[in-house]
Amino acid sequence: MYNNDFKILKERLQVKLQHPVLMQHIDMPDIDEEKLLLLYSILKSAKLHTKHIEHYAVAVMLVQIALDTHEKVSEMNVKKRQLTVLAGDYYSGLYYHLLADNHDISFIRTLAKAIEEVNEHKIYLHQHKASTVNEMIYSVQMIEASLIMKTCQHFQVTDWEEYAASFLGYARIAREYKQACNGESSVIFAAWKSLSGEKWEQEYHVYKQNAAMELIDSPIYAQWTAMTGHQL
Amino acid sequence: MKLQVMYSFLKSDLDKVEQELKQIAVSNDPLLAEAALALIEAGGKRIRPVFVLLGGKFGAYQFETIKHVAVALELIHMASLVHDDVIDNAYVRRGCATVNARWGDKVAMYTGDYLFAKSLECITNLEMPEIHKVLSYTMVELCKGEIEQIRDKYNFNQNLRTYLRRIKRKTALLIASSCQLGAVAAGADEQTSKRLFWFGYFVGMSYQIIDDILDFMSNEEELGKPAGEDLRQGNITLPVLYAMETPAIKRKLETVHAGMDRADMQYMIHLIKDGDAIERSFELSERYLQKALKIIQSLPKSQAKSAMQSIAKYIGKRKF
Repeated sequence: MYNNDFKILKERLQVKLQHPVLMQHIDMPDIDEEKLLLLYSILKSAKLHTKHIEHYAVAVMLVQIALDTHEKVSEMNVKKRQLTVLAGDYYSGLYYHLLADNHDISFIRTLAKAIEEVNEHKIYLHQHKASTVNEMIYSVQMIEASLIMKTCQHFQVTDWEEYAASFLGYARIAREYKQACNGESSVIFAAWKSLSGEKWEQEYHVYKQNAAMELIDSPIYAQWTAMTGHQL
Repeated sequence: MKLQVMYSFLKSDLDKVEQELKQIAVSNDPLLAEAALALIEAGGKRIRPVFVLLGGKFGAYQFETIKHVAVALELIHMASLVHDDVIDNAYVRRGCATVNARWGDKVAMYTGDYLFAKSLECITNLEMPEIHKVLSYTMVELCKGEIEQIRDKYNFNQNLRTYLRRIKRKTALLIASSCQLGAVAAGADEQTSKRLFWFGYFVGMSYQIIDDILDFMSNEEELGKPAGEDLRQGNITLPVLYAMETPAIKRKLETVHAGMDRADMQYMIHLIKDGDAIERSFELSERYLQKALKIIQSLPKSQAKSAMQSIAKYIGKRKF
């Protein structure tokens, strides 16, 4: 049942993302399945009706995908770069349109505030403003989880908030560690290296171990695993 | 007459809108605040807030309510300009370095997203579903217009209909929404707000056509970019479409590309200015203006109505 609902949700989201010109010229956006699953579980724990879960999950993921799409703007061929900028704007417009159609004005506001927070932390991270590794990790958590944390607050399921921040921050840092090891650019590890010098890798492994332990020890982890079968 | 004189009775409220914009630019991140403030202080015509406030005069005008629409629409416009500068790789706007030129594309993308979110935070001060339906539809259409513009770049076989649909989405709908939403926020009746929508729509169409004409008729100092730059970037605008009706000219215009040198571009501009393409473009712009003036005629006589009529006429004659 859970898998089926999740599959339908993912398909609905994919349909929303379809635009003939964008599909022809740029890659279809990646859907972060772990994030979607976490969001779905949070909305389910808020005891929302299935159709409302779907509605809010699609709205939040549209924002997430809009922001992620803008992260991809880089030195690519001109047309692709231009359409990548516009795709992000288009997905943002869709989130507003979806919620406006349903008169969800307060949730539009909730997500708008989350977008502000995400972009503040993105600039902070991009500019290497963090003075400690913990500050930097906090920014990564805010970038990855603000949308979901604000959603938790909105639907009064705040016991998921801290877990979402830790889990999504951990997932992003682990992803970028792999990138950094493959010689790809990583904003997180560029900052980490400038903060810690040669100790960065050792510090990362300590962080990874501690973060994983904390996540597994969290009562939310047990709840989430029981609901979805998802495991770290 | 200067544009501002036509709505001088709004000056005090427009100053307050300016203050609101500056307050909204405040961010926890100093760089984001600086980038946002620089954009606001660079100015601009503020035509959207003007139309919102004028639209509001057709209902029970309350600045404290209407300001949220005026500020939000200007922020949306600004956010789209920041992203447009990334799209066009533009380094100068209104005589100032663009956000992407000063801080790079990443910061420009973040700033645009931040301003967009600020605009939504601002407009959600109004719990009026109609406003959000209209604005969100407009925003989606605006993006579709921009996407179509990229799709149609250097496509010398597009037709007038494609062009008109694109400028409707790209420009006219946001001006139309500005007029309409001011009225809706002020509680004007549906017929009035719809008329104002169509007024803004026709004015917006005319405004964009004039903009496209000025790309060939104005100079770098007035435009803030070299003449013919839209064409060099591959934007096939109305004067180009008309000029291409002559097959020999079409063949020459089809050779335009992004790297074309100044002398060759001058020749292309000459080709467009030499025939009747500019004159016919002005005629179409004028037809839209007449439609705008006609639709507003039925609204009750007021200072706001006179101002809207004057602005519409001014747009037809503007030089930059």
